[in-house]
Amino acid sequence: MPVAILSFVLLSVAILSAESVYALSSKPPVDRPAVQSIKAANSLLLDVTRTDGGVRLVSVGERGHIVYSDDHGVSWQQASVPTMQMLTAVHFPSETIGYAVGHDAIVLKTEDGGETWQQMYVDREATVPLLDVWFSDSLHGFAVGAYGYIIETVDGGKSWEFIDGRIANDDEFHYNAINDDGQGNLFLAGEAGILFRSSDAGQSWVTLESPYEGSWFGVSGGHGRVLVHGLRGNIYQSADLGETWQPLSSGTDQTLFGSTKLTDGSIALVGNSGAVLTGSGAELASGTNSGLSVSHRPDRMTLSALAPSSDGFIVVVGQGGAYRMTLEGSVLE
Amino acid sequence: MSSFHHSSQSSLSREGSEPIVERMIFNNRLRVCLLFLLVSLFLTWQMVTGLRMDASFQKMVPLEHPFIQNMLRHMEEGGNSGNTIRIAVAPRDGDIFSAEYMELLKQINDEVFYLPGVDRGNLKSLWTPSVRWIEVTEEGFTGGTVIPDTYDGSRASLDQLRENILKSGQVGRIIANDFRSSIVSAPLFEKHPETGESLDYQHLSAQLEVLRSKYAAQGVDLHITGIAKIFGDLFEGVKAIVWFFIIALGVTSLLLFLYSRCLKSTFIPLLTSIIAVVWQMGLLATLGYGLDLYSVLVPFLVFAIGVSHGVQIINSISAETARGANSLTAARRTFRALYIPGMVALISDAIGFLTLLVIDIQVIQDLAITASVGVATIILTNLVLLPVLMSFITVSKRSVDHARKSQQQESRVWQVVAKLASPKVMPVSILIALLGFAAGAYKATDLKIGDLDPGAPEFHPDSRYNLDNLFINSHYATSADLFVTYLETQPEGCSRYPVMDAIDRYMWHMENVPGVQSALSLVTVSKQVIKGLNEGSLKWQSLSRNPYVLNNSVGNAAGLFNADCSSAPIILFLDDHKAETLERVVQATQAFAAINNTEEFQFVMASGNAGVEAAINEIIAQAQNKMLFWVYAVVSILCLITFRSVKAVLCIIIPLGLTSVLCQALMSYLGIGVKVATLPVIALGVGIGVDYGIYIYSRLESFMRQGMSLEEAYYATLKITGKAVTFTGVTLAIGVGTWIFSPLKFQADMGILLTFMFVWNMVGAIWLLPALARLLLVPRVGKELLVEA
Repeated sequence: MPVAILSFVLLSVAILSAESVYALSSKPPVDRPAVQSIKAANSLLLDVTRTDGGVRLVSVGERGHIVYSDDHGVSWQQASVPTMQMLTAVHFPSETIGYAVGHDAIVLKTEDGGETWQQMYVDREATVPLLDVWFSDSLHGFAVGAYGYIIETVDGGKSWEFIDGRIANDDEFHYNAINDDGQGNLFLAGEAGILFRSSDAGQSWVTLESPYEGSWFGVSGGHGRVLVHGLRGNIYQSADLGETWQPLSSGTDQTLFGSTKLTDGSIALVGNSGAVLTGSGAELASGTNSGLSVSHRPDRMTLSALAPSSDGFIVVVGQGGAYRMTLEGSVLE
Repeated sequence: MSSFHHSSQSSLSREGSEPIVERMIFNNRLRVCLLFLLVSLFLTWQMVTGLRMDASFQKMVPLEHPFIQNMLRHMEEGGNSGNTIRIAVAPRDGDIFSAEYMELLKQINDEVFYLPGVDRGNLKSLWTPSVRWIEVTEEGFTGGTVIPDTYDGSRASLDQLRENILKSGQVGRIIANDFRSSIVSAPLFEKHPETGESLDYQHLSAQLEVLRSKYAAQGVDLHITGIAKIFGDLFEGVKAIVWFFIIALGVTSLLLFLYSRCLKSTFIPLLTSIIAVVWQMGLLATLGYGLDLYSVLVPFLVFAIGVSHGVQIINSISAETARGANSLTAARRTFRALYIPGMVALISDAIGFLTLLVIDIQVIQDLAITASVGVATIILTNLVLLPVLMSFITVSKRSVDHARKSQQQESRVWQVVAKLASPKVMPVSILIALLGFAAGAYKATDLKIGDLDPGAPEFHPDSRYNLDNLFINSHYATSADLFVTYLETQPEGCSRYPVMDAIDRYMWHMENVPGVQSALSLVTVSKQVIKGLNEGSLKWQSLSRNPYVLNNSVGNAAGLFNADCSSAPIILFLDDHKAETLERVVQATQAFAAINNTEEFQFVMASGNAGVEAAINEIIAQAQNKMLFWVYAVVSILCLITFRSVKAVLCIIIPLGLTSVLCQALMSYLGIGVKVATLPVIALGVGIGVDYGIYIYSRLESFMRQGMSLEEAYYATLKITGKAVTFTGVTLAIGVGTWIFSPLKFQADMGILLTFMFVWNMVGAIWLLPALARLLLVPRVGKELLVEA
């Protein structure tokens, strides 16, 4: 991706000159604490997750907003966050410990279930957004982002190591998503159809042959299958750890940004123009028919991610904040 | 009644002494008439050829206010002036996805394209190529016009249209949320770039009305909003004024006839009062003033004041004739007795009006000048021309008999009213007045500054314009109340990261202020473009620290920064334009600017309709008390000079004060805010209302000097002036009362309040003044009675 590299170089030069003036005039957003706002849960939210084994939902978004809900997404409280930079992803390996990542390669950590957050890592020079985060337990995890940025920690975020050397991504394509399949395999997906797998907790990565040249925005795994989705409604499914892929008919050409596996093995995806896709596990398993049904939010606001709430609904986030929806894709007031 | 208040003391009333002025006028009666005729012809010609209706925006705003100065500076740079006509085209049945609708929309689009003043390159509707859909593909972007190239009106192409609309992101902007209407948006040139012609709002608005009725007949309703339409409708609404004037004229004539019982005595004061109005308008045209939406009220006032002074003249002439004088002698005696006191009364009106000059808004200042000029012309027409004309005619016998009868007969009505001066009634009156003050002052604490109703405050809530505005507001995702803050920086600075970041933070800061719905600026566009460049991923909808990316990203944000990128407007969409909302916005902006303004960039306020109103509100809040102070100071001093007694001043001013307080309470009760239209009301009301007090008090005092008791003196006073005072009050109230039916809300507001002021000032003078005189002028008696009670 030559444009990316070029802009990288230009950017580094420009930043050096801009930074001196900038430091005088004001603090950059990454170093400003998030503003407490009653509108936080209605602002642009980019990722949502349920704490591992818990009820609480935690969502992150623009302006350093982190909101959490203990009533399945009906009401939200805003967390105390040391940055107002955009946060793009959140993951909770346990009920209390969680990690969030964002622009300026910032990594935040919470130890109280998402109410207060500390900065664990930031890379002000790179001006690279981290786009996803995944932890295998409360100590070991990865943060991935634009231009092939990938870092690993084994001590709960105290120290980080670049591990880009382990992956054959010479063009420095963006890593958009990292997730596991629930059976010890890690999948990494991103720009221009790149796909990688690690079966040794991220020590080594295998390049998978992608069934599609467009960008992937998400990967979900479980029940012996893994599923990737991305641009223009493309969804592919694999039952052999990504060696071969079968297309699933999504019924939409809207880009799909987020997905989640539900407990019964069914799946739900969200994306552009308020597209919400849901499908039953049985039909997916048969492999013949995707069984996905498409609906659109009436206001057509683009959705970025979703998580199952523990009362049997889904909570979707994106433009306009967080919404509770039924599995059939209609908005709950 | 033979004279005004001064006559009894004045040396002018002595027979035999003929002042030079009187000799000059009455020895040259025909020449005087000829001179008036010539001046009238000249000024009529001036009025007809030179008087413009003037609705210039700049006159309605406080030009010295920093908000307005900033706004004008940025408007010169040719940024987004916001002067756009928006036409929502709604089919009466069904939604927009029908071949018939699309065809009509196309015709409307084409007709709007050819309207004068439309910036054709930036016209926007479903049918213009600028409305496009965009889709991210593996290769990048793809897109096209929303209406497919292959469009043929078939079901398939309408379905394609629906798909494209959903992908265009124009739902809520060009297409209604419910798909039951779509907008043709036409930006206008204030000054045409080629011809240099100023936009003719009236003409444009009329053509839009033609479109409206033409397409209504074909089953689509047009809902039209925009500043140009507001101005157009204002001009249209002002036309009703002619009818109001005719009605006021008719009713006043009738009253005048009932009062004088003489056709000639009815016709001539009406004629001279109309001449006063013509002179006033001719003079305004000669001086280069136009009539604006507020000062069109003034001819009504001039007419009513003229008639009320004319009545005094007619009265006096009838009385003199009743005593046996011939026409000429009666007219000369009347002139002699009345011209100085009449002049004093009119000059005090004029000075009262001139106190409005302290308010730094040109329409109000023009109102002051216009009203003062008008009152000055009455001095000539009704104090000079009227007696001269009356000297040629004989007052009807009936009228003379009527005058004679009322001089001799006792009046039951006035006997009862005179009891108001009695020691028994006084404490009751004072108590009621105190309660009135207390209740009024309490209610007046709710009095709000500014416009309180949604939509265009110029019109009634159920006016065509406000219904159209409501339609667009409820079906589209945009508010009509805009507050614009400008970011100012050095040339080429507006797309630098620190600047954009500050704008971004300001926007969020403001979006958290209650009453602010959302904010829009080049940052909004930049984030959208950066997201678009990254395959539409929301995770990139953020400002880039890369100057190369950032610069490119604002390329499409036309109108959201100026030519050299040294300033950028930040548009805040508000819930309403209530004063509290605006104050919150201004304060939040000031707080943000105080922390974040640097040498490199500054946030300055303001424009947009809400920004302008915020500036007007600030000026009005400051001016309100200043104006009240001046108007009361001036009338108090005039009263003090006239009567040389502080007690006299109190007797006259306290009833006025009660009326002012009650007027504020009434405003609060009716939900009328203090604004450009209503601020002058109290000054006008007090300036004119003081006359009643002066008439009554001067009479009362002179009778008491003759040794009458207060009650006797008041009865005598009422017998002479009571009828004239009530007649004056009623005439003035009719003059402005017709305004209550104006299609323009602010004129109706002015009508309600002025009518109230005129009537209550009259009531206050007749009812409260004698009680105050009892309390203040006869203190011992008053005390004794209080003790007894």
